[in-house]
Amino acid sequence: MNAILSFKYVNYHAFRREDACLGLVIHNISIAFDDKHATAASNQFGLYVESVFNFSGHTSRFGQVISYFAVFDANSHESRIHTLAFRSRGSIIPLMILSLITITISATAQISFGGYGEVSYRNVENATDSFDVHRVVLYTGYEFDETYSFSAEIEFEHGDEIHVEFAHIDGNYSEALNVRAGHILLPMGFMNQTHEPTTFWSAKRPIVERFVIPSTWHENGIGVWGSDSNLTWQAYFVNGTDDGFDIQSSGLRGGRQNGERAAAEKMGFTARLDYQVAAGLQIGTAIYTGGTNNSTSSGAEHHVQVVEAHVQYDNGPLRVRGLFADASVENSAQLPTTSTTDDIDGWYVEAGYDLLSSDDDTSLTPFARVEQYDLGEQVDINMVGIAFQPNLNIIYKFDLQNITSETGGQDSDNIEFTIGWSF
Amino acid sequence: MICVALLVAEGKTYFTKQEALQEVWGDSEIKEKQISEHTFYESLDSADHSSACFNTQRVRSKGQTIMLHIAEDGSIAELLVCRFNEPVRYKAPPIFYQQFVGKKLDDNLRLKRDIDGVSGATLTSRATVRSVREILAAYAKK
Repeated sequence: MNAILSFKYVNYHAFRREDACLGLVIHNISIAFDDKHATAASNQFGLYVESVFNFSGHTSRFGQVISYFAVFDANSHESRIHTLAFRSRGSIIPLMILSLITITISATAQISFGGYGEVSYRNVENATDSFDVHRVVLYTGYEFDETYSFSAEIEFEHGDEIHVEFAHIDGNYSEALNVRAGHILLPMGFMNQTHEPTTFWSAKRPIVERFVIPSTWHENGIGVWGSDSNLTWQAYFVNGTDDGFDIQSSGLRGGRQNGERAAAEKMGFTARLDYQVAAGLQIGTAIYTGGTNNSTSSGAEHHVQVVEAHVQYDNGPLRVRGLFADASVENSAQLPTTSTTDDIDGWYVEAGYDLLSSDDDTSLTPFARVEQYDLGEQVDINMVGIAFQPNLNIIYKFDLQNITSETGGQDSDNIEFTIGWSF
Repeated sequence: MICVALLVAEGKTYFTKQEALQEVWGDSEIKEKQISEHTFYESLDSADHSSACFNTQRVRSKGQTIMLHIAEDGSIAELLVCRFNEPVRYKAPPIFYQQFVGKKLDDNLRLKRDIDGVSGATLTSRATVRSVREILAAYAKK
């Protein structure tokens, strides 16, 4: 969201007076009264014409300042001419301050701010219920020029954990070739790169995309991304995992280094392809392969591999998503936290129907999800729920989970509720 | 007291206004027609009754500018993305924009109706629909 200001003006006429000095200031002023004006104004530059002196009779004095404004919209290439309907008397100094302030304000057109967050309640059978400020995330972006930009998100989790979720420089050289370097989100699954709460219906992210694909998975790296027609690709080298896996409990999550003083003797490679088959049908796949940075100098090699495939189908108010993921950690029995299996996998299918599809800004989506994963024991999750968006940036989610497992040890019926926002 | 600070909006320009209009009418002379806040461009060729109009809408925090070429019957002949100020990764693929071709303004010209969204480009999809509807609504007043 741009912190900018935008005046609205009425009309314009040029003038020249024998006793006035015509000053010319070119800058960007915008005071936004609403988002639309903020958007339009942030890409305009204005011609600010001021009359600095207005001598009355024979007495010179700093006097009347009349300001006129011509606005050129660099986006639509339209021009509109307005006047600023104020007059002020005063010395030159306040004018100089005004000019400096406006120039400073205009620089914010290159800066973006945003964020998202979730506060979640979980009523868990046979375990402690919780009410958690799960995450508050702040986004900032800066465009250096038409080629280079910076994007970053800082995440505050559970009130006392701070992480850099991503912080990278993008070089946009062409549609087909963009270079990204820094701290990046791995391009895996639906959730890892796009996980604002307004982009999915359930109170919590699917387990498959928390354990098999350990979202949010972010490491340091460099790579390329681009698109050609309806095909999009991404490929990055990143630092590898460490050997902190606790596979039976949390799949691959324990091996993430989050790029925090990450060991990089072993590196990883990840790549993704997405193809828009038709307007409402997208398919894609991604892989990760990499070594593990062991915590001790001795020890077995633990090569990690993840493969996933996903599909999203949209038809009017109906949306369907499906994802399958398979991961392996070599020699997992020799990890510091041993595992009974090298291989884990999972899949889910979900469908939702927006009952308020006639309204552009609100949605009420009942949904259902069937999910299955295996970290050493097969677990099935059946979920029904409903997500309500009073506008595009806020979402209230409620769902009921029925969890069953092979041994019965993970069986549970849960209720979840999340308040989420994104801007 | 002269102080100059010229700022150029950032983002990707795919077509300047002139280039976009040339996509439609080549080097033919065109005229402007103002309808409320919108400027419509038309050919001086009396046999050509189509129009074009530019519109900018916010995607997330920055704008996307499109040009809509409208056929004589009010249907969309072409949609060009002229400028995209958000990070390019938010831009929708060509197949999304192609959905609009041939369509007219009615209540089904919306997401989750006749227009399908794209995973990872929801905000761009919404901004595009807003632009199209706004232009066609103004065109209807011609």
